Amino acid sequence: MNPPTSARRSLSSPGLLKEVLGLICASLLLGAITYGIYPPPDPETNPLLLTWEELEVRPDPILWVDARARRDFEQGTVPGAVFLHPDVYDAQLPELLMAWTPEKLLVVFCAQEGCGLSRVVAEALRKDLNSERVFVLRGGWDRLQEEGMGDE
Amino acid sequence: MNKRSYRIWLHWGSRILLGLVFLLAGVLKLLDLNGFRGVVGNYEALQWAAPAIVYGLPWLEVLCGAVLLIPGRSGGAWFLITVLLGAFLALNTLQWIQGKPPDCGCFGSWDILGKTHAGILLRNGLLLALAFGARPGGRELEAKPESPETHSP
Repeated sequence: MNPPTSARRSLSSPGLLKEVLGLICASLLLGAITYGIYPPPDPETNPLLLTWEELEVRPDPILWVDARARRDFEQGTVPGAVFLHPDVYDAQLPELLMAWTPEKLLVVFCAQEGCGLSRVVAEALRKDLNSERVFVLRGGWDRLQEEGMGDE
Repeated sequence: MNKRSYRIWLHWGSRILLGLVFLLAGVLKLLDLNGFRGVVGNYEALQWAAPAIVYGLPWLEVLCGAVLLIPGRSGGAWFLITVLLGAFLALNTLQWIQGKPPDCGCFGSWDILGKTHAGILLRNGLLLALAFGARPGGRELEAKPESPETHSP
């Protein structure tokens, strides 16, 4: 079905281009203002995040928690890691509780720096286990592979 | 109702629904920017533009949704919404193929259809159908909604 002539005119440049660019510029401007008011949390001061170097100097035994997709977990993970994706959190939690003892540090990881799944899981575990000994590994699976921790 | 009246009502019905959906989606993202940042972080293909997406996309959705709700020219907003829907569709399909979990973050915790890849595809398909109904139709459609009686022979 061909649009009428006036419709074709309303979709023609440069009017359309001007509208599109105007909307994009206005969004970016409002986004920049929002960024100024609500900046992203600083990873250096995020109490959930631990770097590999910080983990290395801690004497506590670690229980790794893999928050990636099941397919990624099955393709390779850290030896002894427990699978706990947010979508199956309730179903998988008992398995984690069987492997966990309070002296163990829970370290959650997902695919890479910036993935949000490990943060979601770590926050839920802190609440459910009433424990502050739950952390997110900065850099996630990418960092673990750099350190030769994966069992692929 | 003649063909022209039907076209006007289809245009405005689709336009208002689509505008409200995008307005709501944008507002919900703005109310939970940290949650949306986490969702964007799950898409490896988007990392190069993550800050612009996290802070700019919700406003783009709000502005495009608002423009659709206001009588007048809507070509730019309609074009951007259609491009966004196409991009969301492509990203979700990519996630599905890669076996990644479905999490579009489209409507925050209200997102019932967003729990499965099929649900997200279905919703995006429906929204694309609405976008087709809301496509710009010239001055006679976009100026202001009129009652069908005005156009009856």
